[in-house]
Amino acid sequence: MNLFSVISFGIVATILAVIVRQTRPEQALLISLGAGCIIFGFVFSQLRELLSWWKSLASEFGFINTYLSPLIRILGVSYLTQFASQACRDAGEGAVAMKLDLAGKVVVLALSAPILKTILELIKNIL
Amino acid sequence: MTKKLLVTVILLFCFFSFSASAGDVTKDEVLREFNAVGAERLLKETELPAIVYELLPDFDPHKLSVELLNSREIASPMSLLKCIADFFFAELTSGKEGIAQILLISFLSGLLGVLTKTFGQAGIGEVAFMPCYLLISGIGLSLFHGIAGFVRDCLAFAVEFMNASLPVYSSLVIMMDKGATGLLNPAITTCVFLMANFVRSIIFPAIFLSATVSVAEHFSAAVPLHRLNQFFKKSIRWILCFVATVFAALLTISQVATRTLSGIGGRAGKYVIGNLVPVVGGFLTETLDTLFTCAGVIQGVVGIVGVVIIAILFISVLLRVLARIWLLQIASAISEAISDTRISAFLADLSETMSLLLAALACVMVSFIIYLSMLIRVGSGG
Repeated sequence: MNLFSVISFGIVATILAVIVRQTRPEQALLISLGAGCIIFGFVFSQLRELLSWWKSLASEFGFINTYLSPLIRILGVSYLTQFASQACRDAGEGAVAMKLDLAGKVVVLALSAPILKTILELIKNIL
Repeated sequence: MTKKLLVTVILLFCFFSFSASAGDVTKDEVLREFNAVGAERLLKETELPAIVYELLPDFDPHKLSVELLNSREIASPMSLLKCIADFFFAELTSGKEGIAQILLISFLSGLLGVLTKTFGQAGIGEVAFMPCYLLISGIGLSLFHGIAGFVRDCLAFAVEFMNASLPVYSSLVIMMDKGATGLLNPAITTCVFLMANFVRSIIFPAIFLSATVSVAEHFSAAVPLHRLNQFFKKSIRWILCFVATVFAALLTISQVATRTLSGIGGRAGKYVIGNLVPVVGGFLTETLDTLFTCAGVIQGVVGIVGVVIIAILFISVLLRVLARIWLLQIASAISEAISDTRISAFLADLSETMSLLLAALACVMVSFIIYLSMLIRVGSGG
């Protein structure tokens, strides 16, 4: 799927959602969510390519694999959580969005715990 | 063991010059005495630190001393400059991996920044920035720690040398006539001795502390540590300047600097040192006169080999620190364009802290060379 198709798809989905919202607002929400998922899928495939390029570069420069995977996971978790919480906000579910944000933050913190531990050990050694 | 042997060899040089120039002797006599005291064997057997050969691959202390004794040119300035440039660029190349890793993580944190801007909420993007920043600071600190190890070894060598030579030095002061005693102002000796120990035991840990505080300082705006970090840096600068000023004042008072540095080369050297060496550049420029005077005193004396070894040791470490500062500055400049400003600010801060390391080392190097020159002067009878 190229960018032109994504833009066309987005515009068509928006027009459809606007028209449907006047008679069936609940279906307009589903259209909006579905379109969001498809666009996010496109973004994700592009991001995956970018990350695989980044990963190969990182391996080339001797980046330790222990930190490579958590970093990529953190990026993925951030994008997914942010997308999901934004979708919830669009649907008017601010409370659920907040909880999703919290869940995402906790997962990111858990993933970054080994990195934090290593840095603290390094600082301990330096001092 | 190697370090002790090196200390012995340099000390031997300092006192060999005493026996070599005590009377009116010919070159052949000097060479004979040189071999008689076992200096040749010691020089051949002494294993110098690897860093000396990294800077000057063909360095041979024995050959150097023989060339000096025969008053021959020891090396062309162009070949020396080439060696220095090669060493500097090799250092830049060796540090490229760490810098590339920093830039790669900066790129990733840039992607997170895009996420935050797209959704208009800091939220999770801000939390995800944390491990990226921590990893970058970890790599930065590792680079710092690695280079600080070299500086620490260099300082340890200087302190060990001073500790080993001070008793002999004091004995000589008592034995020598008033000319030598005048030169060997105990205050200067004590000042040099204190400076090296002071830098090693107070300045050095303070620089480490400052590097660690800068990690926390740029981590979040919610942690206001800017003033604390500035306090550490300013304190280090003030202490270095104070010690350097006391040393320069003592030198002036004791009238060691009897000759002034002249000529275009000397002026250019003073200008470059005064402007490029951070923090203590001014002090170094002032003491350069003395340094050159001392260098003049020891010219033609075998003891210069010891000074050359020490100078190579210090210069190679200085070049190594300089290369890392440069790399960090480059990384800071690039990451500013692709990532969060906090990362570039941290890298710039770390390079600034490294320049303090450079200043402290330069300070010790100059005072140490002056001390060595004085030591050799005593050896030659004042």
